[in-house]
Amino acid sequence: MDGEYNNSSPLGASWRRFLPARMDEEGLSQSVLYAMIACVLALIFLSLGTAFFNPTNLVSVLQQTPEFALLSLAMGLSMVSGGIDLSIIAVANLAGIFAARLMTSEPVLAALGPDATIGLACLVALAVGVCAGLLNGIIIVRFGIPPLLTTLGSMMVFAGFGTGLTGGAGITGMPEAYVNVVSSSLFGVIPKSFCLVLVVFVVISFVVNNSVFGKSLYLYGENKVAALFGGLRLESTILISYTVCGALASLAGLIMLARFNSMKVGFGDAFQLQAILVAVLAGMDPDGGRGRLLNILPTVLLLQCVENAFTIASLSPFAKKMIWGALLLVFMALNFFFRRIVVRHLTALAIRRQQASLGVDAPPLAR
Amino acid sequence: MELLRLEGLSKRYIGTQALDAVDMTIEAGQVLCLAGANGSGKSTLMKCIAGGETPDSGRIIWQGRAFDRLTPAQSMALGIEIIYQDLSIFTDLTVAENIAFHVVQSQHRGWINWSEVDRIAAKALNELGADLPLRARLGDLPIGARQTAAIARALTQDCRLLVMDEPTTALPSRDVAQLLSMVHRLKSRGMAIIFISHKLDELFEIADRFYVLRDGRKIGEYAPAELTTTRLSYLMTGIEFKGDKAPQEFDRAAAPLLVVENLCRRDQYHDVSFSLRPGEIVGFAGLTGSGRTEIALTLFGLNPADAGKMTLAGLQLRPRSPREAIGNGIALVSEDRHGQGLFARKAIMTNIASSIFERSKGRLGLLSQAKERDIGDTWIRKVRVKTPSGEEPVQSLSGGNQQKVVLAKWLAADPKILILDNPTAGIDVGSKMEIHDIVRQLARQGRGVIMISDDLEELVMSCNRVFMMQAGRLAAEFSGETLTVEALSGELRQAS
Repeated sequence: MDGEYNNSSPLGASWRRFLPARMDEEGLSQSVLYAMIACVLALIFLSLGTAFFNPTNLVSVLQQTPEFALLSLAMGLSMVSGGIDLSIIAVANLAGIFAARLMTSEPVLAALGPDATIGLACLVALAVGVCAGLLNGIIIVRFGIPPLLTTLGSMMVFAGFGTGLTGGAGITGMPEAYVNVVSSSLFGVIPKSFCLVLVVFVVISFVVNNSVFGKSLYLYGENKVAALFGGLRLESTILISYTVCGALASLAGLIMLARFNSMKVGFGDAFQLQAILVAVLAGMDPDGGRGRLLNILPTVLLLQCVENAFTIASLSPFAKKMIWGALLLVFMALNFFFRRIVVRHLTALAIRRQQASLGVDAPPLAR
Repeated sequence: MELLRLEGLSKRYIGTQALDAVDMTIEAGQVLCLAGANGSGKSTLMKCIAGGETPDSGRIIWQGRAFDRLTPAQSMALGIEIIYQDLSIFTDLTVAENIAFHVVQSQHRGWINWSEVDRIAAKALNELGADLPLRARLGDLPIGARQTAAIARALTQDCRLLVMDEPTTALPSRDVAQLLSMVHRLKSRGMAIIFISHKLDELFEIADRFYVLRDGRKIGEYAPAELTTTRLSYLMTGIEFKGDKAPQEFDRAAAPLLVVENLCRRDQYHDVSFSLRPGEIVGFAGLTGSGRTEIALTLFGLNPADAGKMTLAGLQLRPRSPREAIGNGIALVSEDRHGQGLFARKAIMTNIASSIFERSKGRLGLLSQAKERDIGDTWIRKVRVKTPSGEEPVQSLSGGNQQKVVLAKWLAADPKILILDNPTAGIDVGSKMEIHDIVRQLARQGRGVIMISDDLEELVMSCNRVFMMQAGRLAAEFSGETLTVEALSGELRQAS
């Protein structure tokens, strides 16, 4: 019986017959993304050559990505369930402020010594992120307030809290050991902060793809009612997802703190909208249920490469924003175009199968 | 005089051919009753006329002018009005505002002339021979009055063809008589009317012609004299009742699996008591809104009862969420399989495995793709889903196979009690039989099955007992010799 389906697509003489019999939109938008990355890199190579593609510059691209990558991952994760987390920057700032306060506090340094203080500060920062994320999750799950509104409100609360702690001023002068850890490199080449990001990406994307938690999260994003009727464990799933978002944001805050050797409310505000851009560009569906988190990392690197190339070509930063926006629009348009083909293909397939199934005689059900 | 002609109208969606080369003609001053089971393509057809859907092929000819498709604005300009089941009224506006809404909107004046609003509304109501308080908030009036307002609104638009989609489903019987007399009145003024209803008796009161649609195809057109309700329901379902009902045998002495005693919920159902033994299939017939689905949802933890007792295998049952109900061994295959049963864009295997994620996870809460595929493949084989692979998205399947995936999802969870709400609505005949086979097999394995259905043949063929629900009560019970389609449809007619 399988034979009748395996002859892929007798759809006529058009080029469409070269499409695989099984095609999903997720895989499609992934192909579009990687094709786009290849095109952009080729363009950069043609126009800049080795001025861009030299080891020093490539390492500096890696150095500039970590906090942006983590924030985009947090944004992408919140999109899996069809939500959004607008509070990530505020959480990153707040976590950074807590850490900076501890690390610059004379009595704590005197009591614990620099190493223990750095460890404690990192733990406190992560705890701040986890608590902030948990708060978001509880409001969303328990009170049923849409994530957009919840995180918009909590963003203001966290930013206000941070301003209250610092009076709006920046905290500077972190211990040298801390700044060095983050800026140092593995084997003298790959920045350690980027290694950390790589590990975080691989672990989170593996867990989300292979755990009951991750699968429930995707299914909730795909169809909330069916997830409820299917008896999935929804409350804890959503709660965990926003908690992880908070933790990722606080990690980004720690890296920002080390890179700039200072922290204040409003640092990295531009990342907020850029993280949404990256997540969508990487194929995350803002309506939920689709997209692969691992694709976010190459997308962040792509945008960073574009930015770097513009700096090397000494173009205006406005051009950079324009190009980023244009990339997003081109990607969306391509996806829309291809998706229509996929839907038509699936429709035709289903019709053929329905017609085939009408003629088939049913042997009794085997158990 | 011919008003509207449809030629070879076709429309397909992912999974189904909703319309297959449908022809139809309607003349002015004629009431055409459109009959068809759920999913037969009635609403798609009406949407094509109203401009809500674009047909894939075919032509719409309005008084000699041919169109490939109509936009909603075009359709209204031609004089086609549709009154949907939900009436599309504004409950917070007054009666007059609701009626005159379109006229006022199309005048583009910027300012509203309130005396003219009243005048337009009064005129339209007068034409209908109805009397409503113009300044009352429409949401405060009973459903019958709202319906009248919706019809009056259609009249303000110089309407030539009025489509009424199940206008009587929610109406009390006294209002139904009034509605039917309004239809007569409109017809005598030369208006064409397409009337859609599941209550076959009403159709015979007003129909000039019957048009029967099944699985997206035109079955035929008939004069009322040629038909009886039995004949009509045969034409609609295509299943000739041959009397070959084969209710399974089950152990009548066994302790009941589920006992429901005096269950009540305000405005939904009252004093409902029944029991279900292992291996038994109990059916619930009745009109939509009679309380059938509401009881199912209560058992499934979504619609808590106000009073009464449910006992599952000797233990008190009071689920507060679907999760708890499923934990107790209750599964619900709901009527709305797209909205409530399936993750359309996800793989078949993921859909099936979703009900047992937690049971099949390994160490660290991880569930491998391989395990998921295993579960998927096993059940795809058992319920015979026709697909080349379990990785295909569920939306690529035909309706019948999608429903088999929903069944498989619940069978994988190994429930004690399976509740089926219209399990074969909108499904082709072949898959229908296969699904009935699966259900019988499940009962044979000692599960209890509750089957809610609009399809009386289905109930008679599958069930050991059938309850007729009427206005929230179990009005009658049929079993053995008394369980026939004729008896059920007779009771159903009385109910409506």
